[in-house]
Amino acid sequence: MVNIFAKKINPKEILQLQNLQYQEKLLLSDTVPAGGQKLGSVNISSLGHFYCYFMTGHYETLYDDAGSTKDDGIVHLRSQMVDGSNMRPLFNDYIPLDLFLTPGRTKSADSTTFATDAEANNLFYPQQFQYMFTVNSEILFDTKNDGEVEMNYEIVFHGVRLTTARR
Amino acid sequence: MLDQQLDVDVLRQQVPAFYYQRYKILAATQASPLIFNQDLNFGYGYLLRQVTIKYPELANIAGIEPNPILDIAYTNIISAVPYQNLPYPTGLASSQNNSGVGWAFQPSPVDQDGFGIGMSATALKNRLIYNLYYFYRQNIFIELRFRQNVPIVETYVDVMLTGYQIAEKDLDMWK
Repeated sequence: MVNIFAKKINPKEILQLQNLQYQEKLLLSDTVPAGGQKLGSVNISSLGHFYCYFMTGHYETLYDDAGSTKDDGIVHLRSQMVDGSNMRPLFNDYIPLDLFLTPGRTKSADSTTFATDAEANNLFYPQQFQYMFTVNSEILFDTKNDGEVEMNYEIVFHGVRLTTARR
Repeated sequence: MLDQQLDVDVLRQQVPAFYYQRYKILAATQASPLIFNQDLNFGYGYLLRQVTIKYPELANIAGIEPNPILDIAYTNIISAVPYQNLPYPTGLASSQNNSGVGWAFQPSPVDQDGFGIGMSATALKNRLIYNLYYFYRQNIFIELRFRQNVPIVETYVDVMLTGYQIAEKDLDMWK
């Protein structure tokens, strides 16, 4: 655990610094159609570069049981992340979401057996992902769904907004 | 972070690179070692931060026999230097949760030839922290082998490497 009071805190310095950089979280939320593919994105905006430190997320695990939507806890979503500024893929392949997102599986309000579905995962172990997404670019998340039901996922990128590019 | 301004030129050096591979193990076979062999992009080294492994731990009937144990071994294939004295169980380098992956293997109803079998979305157990640097033109070489008992049904082992590509700036291509 970091001792944030190891040094004396100078409010004036901190306020000046927070005008130049401050912590920010970017949410990417999307629903992928059944048996389909969807390109989710979150815009970095013109405020400045966004330096990501880590990411967390959760997703649904639904299936179709003779017309009734249920939760069987099977992962049907896999994604490839791309830096929208230069279309560089950051994953070598489409990776199942359970391998890098925590807490991970979440109970779905769309499940007809919601009351008896297993509890959602609760291990919070952020995936380190240190990368600078440049101003006005997008974080692209190309996701495939091999299930028979549309499914939602949400990811939060935790990082720092750099309003001024210090060199 | 509270008292230090971040330097953009320092931040923009690293590029995350996640490498993923899925292996299929036939039911009740000892199986050859699983080899994860990843070549690196031209001109980059790779800082390997973490290895995430997921596989079903299916005990034999009524839990009479222990669950399959997966051993792991790293080798620097350029110099043939192993990074351990013996392959060691992945469970000793990660949390001891039950991986929970169970019987629910069913082909994808939509994409039978593509993604195929689905894994259950349990909380991850095996996250092995490594900070190994692979130089330009090295391959990442990891060997996985089931030591005792093998899964009793057809099984899949997911391996994901997370790390960063680091430009090897002394190369002529960057000058």
